Amino acid sequence: MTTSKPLWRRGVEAADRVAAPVLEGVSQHEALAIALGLFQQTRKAIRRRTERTSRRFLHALNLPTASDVNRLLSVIAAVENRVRSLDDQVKERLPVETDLEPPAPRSEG
Amino acid sequence: MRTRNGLRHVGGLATGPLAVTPSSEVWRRDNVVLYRYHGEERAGMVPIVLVMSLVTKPYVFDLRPGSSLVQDLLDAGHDVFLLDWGIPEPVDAHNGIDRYTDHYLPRAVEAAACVAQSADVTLFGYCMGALLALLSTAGNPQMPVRNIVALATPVKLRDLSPMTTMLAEGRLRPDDLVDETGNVPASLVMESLRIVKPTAPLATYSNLWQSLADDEALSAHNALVGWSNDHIPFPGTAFRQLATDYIAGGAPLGGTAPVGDRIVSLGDVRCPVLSVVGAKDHLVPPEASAPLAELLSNADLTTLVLPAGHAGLFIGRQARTKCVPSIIEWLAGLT
Repeated sequence: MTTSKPLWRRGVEAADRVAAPVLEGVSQHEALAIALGLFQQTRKAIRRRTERTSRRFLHALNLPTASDVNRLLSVIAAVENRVRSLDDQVKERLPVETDLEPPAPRSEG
Repeated sequence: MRTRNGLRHVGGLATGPLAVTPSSEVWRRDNVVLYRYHGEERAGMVPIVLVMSLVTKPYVFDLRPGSSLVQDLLDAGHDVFLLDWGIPEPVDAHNGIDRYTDHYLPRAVEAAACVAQSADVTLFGYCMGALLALLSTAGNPQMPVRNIVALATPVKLRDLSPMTTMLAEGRLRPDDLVDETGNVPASLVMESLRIVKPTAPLATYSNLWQSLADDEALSAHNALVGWSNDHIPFPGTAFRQLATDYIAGGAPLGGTAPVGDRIVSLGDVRCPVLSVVGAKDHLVPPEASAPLAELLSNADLTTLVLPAGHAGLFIGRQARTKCVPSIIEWLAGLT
């Protein structure tokens, strides 16, 4: 069964057909790539400066900063990764069956 | 009707149940879990292992009642498994591509074959999951894979989006995109895909307006749009490798691809492969999958081009009438 599209829908699709190539052209344009690169670098520079200032202030009060917490998180992640690789080595030496979990019913919702 | 449904939509009540096909966890490593769907008949067919991309959630395979690839495969008598990569945490930032292709995938495939008491399995990959399935099969010849179904497989990655072009040209460095967890944040993954089709929101909102007149259509619309906005972070090390070796380096277009500390050749895939391509796919356009014909030189490759978009390959009316039956038919021909 085919149903004809409503007039408003055909209008939207016509607008899309006109706008899409223009906007896609903009999104792939050299100037946008340069602007995004500059934006990214500026954002990083501002973030670095803000972090440096707030770190000086918070450390003066003997308080941890977000970058301290992030550094700890990455250390924990590295340790966890090391534990994983040791766990892999242990599991590789055990029979395959031990890798299989007992069935547990699941229904995503 | 539109007013009522509009209020339900705004209140978040119009989506309906998602991923309802019951399943059981049968294997787990780290955050990666293999589920087996409960099916009535498992008529001695080769079990299917569904493999998702690393940036989206796998419930799209079982999106909603009436629009579920899992249910369609179960109805056809297949034993269906789902490999869920999980949501990457800071520890997963250390996972390279080889962790997925040489560690998780071979073990999950072995577990699926063991649980299903089958000699081998069908790998069914979607998007980057299809590339992972191919690389894993190529690099692990002992892996019991009977055949591969590869949906929307990106092998020419350089021009997939303005962001991949910028990475390839060195205007963006992979490290610029990684956050404090070590992974690429989900919001950035979503933005990089959105920029491919800037007018997509226009189509989404007009679809929404049209769907408001029908409960079922609204539920289907919300389920699909909800999934397409439900991205997950990209593991940092895998992203750096993808950006350096695949997007900028052009792998696997030369026939080989670096995986961990070795080089894998897609020419080593020797089983039958069905490549399904969406002619209207903006995220992985047909040109991005086209080199597969040359790269899979030793595989019995069948290519199926359908007039569908990225998710339309297995969701929606056309998927149910054309794509999914074609896949089931191809699988039946090889069983």
